[in-house]
Amino acid sequence: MNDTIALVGNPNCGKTSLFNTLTGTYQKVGNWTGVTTEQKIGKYKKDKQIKIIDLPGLYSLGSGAIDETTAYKYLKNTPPKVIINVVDGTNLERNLSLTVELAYLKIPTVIAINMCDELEKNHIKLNSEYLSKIFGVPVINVSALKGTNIDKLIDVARKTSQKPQILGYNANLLISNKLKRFDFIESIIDKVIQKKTTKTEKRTQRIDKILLNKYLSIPIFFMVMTAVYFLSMKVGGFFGGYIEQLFEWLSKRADLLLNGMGASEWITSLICDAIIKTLGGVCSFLPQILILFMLMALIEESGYASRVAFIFDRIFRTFGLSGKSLLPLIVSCGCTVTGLMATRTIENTNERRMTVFLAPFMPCGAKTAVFAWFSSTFFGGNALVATSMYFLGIICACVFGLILKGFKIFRSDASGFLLEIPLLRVPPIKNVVAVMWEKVKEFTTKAALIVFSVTVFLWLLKSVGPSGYVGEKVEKSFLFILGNILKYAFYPLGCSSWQTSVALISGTFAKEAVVESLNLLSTDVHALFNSTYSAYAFMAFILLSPPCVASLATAKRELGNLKIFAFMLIFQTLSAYIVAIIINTVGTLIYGGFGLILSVIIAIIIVLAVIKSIKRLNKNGCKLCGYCKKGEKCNKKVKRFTT
Amino acid sequence: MQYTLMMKLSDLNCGESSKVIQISNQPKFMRRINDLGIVEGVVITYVARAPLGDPMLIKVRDFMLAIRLDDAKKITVEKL
Repeated sequence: MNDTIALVGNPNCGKTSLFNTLTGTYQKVGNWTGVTTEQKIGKYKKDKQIKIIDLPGLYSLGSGAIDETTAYKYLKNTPPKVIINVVDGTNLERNLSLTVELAYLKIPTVIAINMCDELEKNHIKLNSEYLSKIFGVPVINVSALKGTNIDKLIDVARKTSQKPQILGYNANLLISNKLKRFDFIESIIDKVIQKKTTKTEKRTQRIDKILLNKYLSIPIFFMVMTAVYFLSMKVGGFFGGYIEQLFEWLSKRADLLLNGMGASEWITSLICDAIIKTLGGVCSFLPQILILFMLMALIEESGYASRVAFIFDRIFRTFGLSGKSLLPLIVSCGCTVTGLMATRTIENTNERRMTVFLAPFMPCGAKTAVFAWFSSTFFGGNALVATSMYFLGIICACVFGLILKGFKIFRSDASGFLLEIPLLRVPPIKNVVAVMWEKVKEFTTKAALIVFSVTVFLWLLKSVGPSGYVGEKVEKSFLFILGNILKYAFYPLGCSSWQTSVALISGTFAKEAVVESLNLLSTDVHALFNSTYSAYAFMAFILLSPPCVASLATAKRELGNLKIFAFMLIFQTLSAYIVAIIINTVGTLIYGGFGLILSVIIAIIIVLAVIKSIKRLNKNGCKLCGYCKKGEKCNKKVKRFTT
Repeated sequence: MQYTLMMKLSDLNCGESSKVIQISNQPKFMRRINDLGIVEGVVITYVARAPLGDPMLIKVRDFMLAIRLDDAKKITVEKL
């Protein structure tokens, strides 16, 4: 660890861009504050001896948000050899505040002033010599995007051993007193740079007039999202079909080949049925995900994503979320894992937890595939059925958000909502390609590792029973036994066959496995469900029940607390169960079918239990608005009386 | 003595500029807002309001920031 260089700087100052230019590896960069949520380690591309660490962006050391604490802890516990303090040249005033704080760490530092290409374009001169004199460290103008002065930066960083010190000023006073610190920065800033409205700023102002317009902003957002989904689903689906065909052909080929080699029956079954088919199923999503993430990257990098958070914050707050929850929720429609990872940017603990709880309600790509299959098998291909799942997910997220707001764990933090709205920029193609590349890599490794191992495991359960290898006779396998025990729990849902419960078990590993299991395990899928209502209830259960293993692992990491994680599991299972029972019960009430009375009774008991538990939480007759603390009298009520 | 009008940041009209007089003394909020460069004496311009009325868009130290009205109420300013 003798040659470690850490990149430190404000969010959205171009650290990750610089990191990519330095290491040559592709990291996700966004014009959205807080894209880097964990430190990333890479090697300098021209000298592999040098390790480069990209820390999450921070406004100050030891402030509230999770990102900043990680960065501070890292710098404190494992000090790097040199810090490169990345400073956004177009916003020196705020960026230099962190530079002052870094002086406190007493680690050799080099200041890199990024975006100097933009300064040059606007004929803004920057007096880096003066800045260098003030802080007592080398200052280098760079452009991460164009690659200007990058090698010089590393060269200087390697040689430097100068610790930052604020010459001629009382450093300790500047660190402890923020008022004095900004006074100091203001006093030097005039000598460093002349202020001028840049072209980007002017352009941003013009476009913002339309994007943030009172009447246009929301229609524009929906148009953008429709375009994103149309492109990824239709265009991606088109290519996905071909990939699926390719894998089917591969499976047949492998079957022939293995038979020709005289391989035993179980090996052929494992390779052709289990491995290749599932791999094909997963890879057919690849084009969709590729396009979705490319467009998402465009939205993030251009700076539109933070504007969307700004527009919708008011709505989300009603449900205990924040405007910043929107992006994780939208991303969750593609993949829950990425959606959950994006929750890091929410600095309010309550709202972050709430987002982690509710994001899995969104129908991810895998769930969408399941719903598409269901609607074509049970509802004659009615497109409304699959679409209704999106609405069900959103409605449930809102309703359960309101209910969850009453719980103590969502009332502990009251830190505000402060979101930097970056300038609108045309995202460089390099970065968009970088995001795509990263996603493909992530997705294929996930497919290869998790889905692969799960498939093999499920295949084992299915073809091995107490009597050894059972082959096609599923009735003798372990899976059959397991499914038979679990099926009683799904009786009120109207689908109490062992096949459906087994499909749900496999669904916990990867949601797309539900369809495969149903197809594999039964000859007539229609016989599995009492009515079309119970099929719909089953879809709702899949939508709301805890997400796949990969997402759960991410959720655990994001929540960081086992108790809350357990609570989330129970909450998601229960809500899925309740909603599914309600759908089935209402359906059967109209339809008039078997198991009606029992379902009604169970549904009523569950609803009563939920109501009672909520009431107990709010003994004072509070309206669950979350404004007052538990045990306090409701402020809202008082207000209503006085006005 | 010059007459100054003290008001909450949330009470400004769109397009108006103001100077920060005082920030409500809640440690966590204070630290967060200080880190972003909002300290006493800094000039804040009210740029726009969100379509649904709530978070307001302000310009401070050459960058734009979205802040909720509830938080803006904690900042006392003087109209310029």
